[in-house]
Amino acid sequence: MSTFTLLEQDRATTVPASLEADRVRLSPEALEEGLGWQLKPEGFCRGDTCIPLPPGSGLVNDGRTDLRAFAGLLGRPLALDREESVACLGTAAGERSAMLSSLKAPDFTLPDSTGKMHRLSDHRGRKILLNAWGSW
Amino acid sequence: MKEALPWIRKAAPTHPCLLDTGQVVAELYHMTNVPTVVWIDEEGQIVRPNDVTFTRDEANKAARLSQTATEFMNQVRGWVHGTSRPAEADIVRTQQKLPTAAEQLARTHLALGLWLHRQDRPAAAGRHLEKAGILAPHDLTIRRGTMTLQGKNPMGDGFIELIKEAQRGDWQWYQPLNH
Repeated sequence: MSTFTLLEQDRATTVPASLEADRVRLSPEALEEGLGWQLKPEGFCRGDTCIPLPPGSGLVNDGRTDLRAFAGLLGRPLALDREESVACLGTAAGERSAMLSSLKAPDFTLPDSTGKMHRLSDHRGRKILLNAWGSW
Repeated sequence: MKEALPWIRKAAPTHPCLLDTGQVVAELYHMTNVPTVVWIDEEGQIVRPNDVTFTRDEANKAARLSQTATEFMNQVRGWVHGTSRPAEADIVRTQQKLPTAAEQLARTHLALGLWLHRQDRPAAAGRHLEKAGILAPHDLTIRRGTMTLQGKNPMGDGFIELIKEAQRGDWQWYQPLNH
């Protein structure tokens, strides 16, 4: 058994994993610890959401979930680096598009040059001109 | 970050000026270059999506933007003072550019590359930053924004090569709204 680091948004979690030729398989405990999904008889569940396990998919073998196939089931992009034992689960285009189409300004918290943190939504009640620039 | 600090100190802005080394805002708002400007109203609604302007008319002209910086800022003043109304929500939605699956996969490789870079694993980081650029070849926040991390000069040869590529491929360097 090896260890593998899973990245999702700001979270990085290192869990035990089985590394096969080009597959990374996670135990139910590792899946829950790393990505917050539970493997139940009805499928993969997180909160109120359950996704049925497609029959005959080979997604779960001997109780272990194939990480890449799982990302595919969720419809989310996965960047996986087998050599570095790390993978990042990203946001699906559909999910990001739905957020943007809602026109609700996505909230974020970032530091200024003194290290003080600022949250966009703390400025609610005022008009905001959000200007992204770069010095490269 | 060290590149941005002299500019911030010199400008000494009275508004918050935030440092985003992880490209958090580019990901959340699907920004593909800078400068990118978004108007957000008092209720936190986007009333004008990703648009492009510099602060000087000459810069807008050089970037071949149809609006001058003066026109843009006059529109901002009109919105702030309530003398003009921004577009209705349905119009704003038609103006938005939404990400493709390839662009979101590029963002995911970018996030992994930035994490590997912070872990001081530059060779592995470089693989994912490059992959991100291949997946989203017109995203300058990825292509140009990660040049420093890949040992390239975003103001020198790397930049010039990218401009030539854009000219050859006939793709838009800046993507302003259609006014």
